[in-house]
Amino acid sequence: MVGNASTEGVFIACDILMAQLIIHLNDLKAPSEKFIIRVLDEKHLFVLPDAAGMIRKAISMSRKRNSFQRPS
Amino acid sequence: MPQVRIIAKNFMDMVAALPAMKLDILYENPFICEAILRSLPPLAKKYVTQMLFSEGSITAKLLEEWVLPDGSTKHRVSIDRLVQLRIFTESVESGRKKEKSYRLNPTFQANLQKRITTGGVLPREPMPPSLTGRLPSLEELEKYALEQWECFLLHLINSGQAEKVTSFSPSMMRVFQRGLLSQSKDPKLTESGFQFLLMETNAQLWYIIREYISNSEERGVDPVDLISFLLELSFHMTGKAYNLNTLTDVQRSTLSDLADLGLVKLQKGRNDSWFIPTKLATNLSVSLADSSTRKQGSIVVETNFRVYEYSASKLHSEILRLFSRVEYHLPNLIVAAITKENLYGAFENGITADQIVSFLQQNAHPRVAQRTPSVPENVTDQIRLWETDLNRVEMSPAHLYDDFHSREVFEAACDLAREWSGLLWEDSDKMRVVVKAEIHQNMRDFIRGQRQ
Repeated sequence: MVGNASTEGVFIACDILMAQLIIHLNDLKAPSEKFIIRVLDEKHLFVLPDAAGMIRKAISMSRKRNSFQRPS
Repeated sequence: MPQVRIIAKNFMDMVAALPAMKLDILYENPFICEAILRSLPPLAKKYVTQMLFSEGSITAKLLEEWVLPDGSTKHRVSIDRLVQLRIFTESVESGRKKEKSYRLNPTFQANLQKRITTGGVLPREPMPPSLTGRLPSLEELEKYALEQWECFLLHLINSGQAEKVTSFSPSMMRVFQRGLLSQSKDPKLTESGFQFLLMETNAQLWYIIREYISNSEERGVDPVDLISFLLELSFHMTGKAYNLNTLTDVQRSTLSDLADLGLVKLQKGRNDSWFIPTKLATNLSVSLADSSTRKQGSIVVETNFRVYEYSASKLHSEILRLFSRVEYHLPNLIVAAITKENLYGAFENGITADQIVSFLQQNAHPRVAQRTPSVPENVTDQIRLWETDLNRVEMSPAHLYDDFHSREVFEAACDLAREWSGLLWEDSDKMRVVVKAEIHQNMRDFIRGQRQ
């Protein structure tokens, strides 16, 4: 075998919590919409090139859910 | 994020950028010659004064001998500047040596000689007190200037808080706002706009004046007239009254714009009208570095994230509003709280945590400014932590390689990626490597070469 397959994608470096969040997001998706190509290790992921924007949005959503705003 | 920085470029840089023809016209005015001389780097000043009374030109070689060897960079900078401003005209002798030589611009030289030997007289004299009555004191004048300037800034950032209306046309305002506000239906302050607000008054003034001058041609005013008038204005005495009838029509209409900016105060007497230059105007030709008189700060930050600003200014409350929640607005006190939500709003607009922290530190109330740190550490740390919280995930376009058929090729590939500083991640057990997208091409070529 003379493989050397190369895959294009987006490399994500983050902390363990964030990585788990992204993996969780991936698990929620239908099989055709999964975006993680490979979980490299606990802090590094490799995802499809066009998933970056979606991930960012999802992270900021979860941040908003997790913060309390005093009603004014 | 666009990397537009607002550099409050020097007045003289703008003068130097004028076409040669216009510069020659500028030098007809002795005041401008002096203003230009003042703005030069020290070495250049020396050259000009040394050559002032000598006719004819001086060779570049001789000029170079005037400085010690280690001053050669300064020498070159000075010469460049002088040539750029067309104070020096360069000529190359046609002889076989082809030596460069410089001579002073004759108009500039003649005017400066006159100015030094006889002293200059302004085209207008201060009006006698008998005509004007009591004039505002220097303090009153400064207060007026700052008020005007603040009112202008409030208009600039489009807040509905300004009480007075400016006489600037909406189109003129749009010119000023270009680059400071986002160009959308609901204009918001951009990153550079925030930087602008945090700049010192003098630096802000430069920015606005520069826009004003570069836009002058569209209004049918010659930029040369405008520059020479502004420079001339900087030679007037602060707090003295000057009669309006000594001005041309263009100057008079310019003056009403300048009054809006707080550079001059216009007053009307029984028969005459006059203008009184404020400190803002007389500081115009002083270079930025020299005029850094720090305003006294008025902000106290407590460890509970409360911010107290002892100020009646609406502008200050607008600035605070950019990154905190303003809770009370008392006659001389603004109480605000730094909250996560407000900070996130600021970060989204491109304002950085460091900018906010340095703003709080620079404007610390004298009482707390003596303490170190002037802003409680837990607050500054938290501001920075919140910012890093936004950047917990780092993404970069990349290529993943696996299925290497031998360890040698894998290691060679890793080394190559490291050499191009494009290695993002490697796993030597499973022989996988992730590299930046930029070096994908090089990697592919390399691996193809290995395969053969």
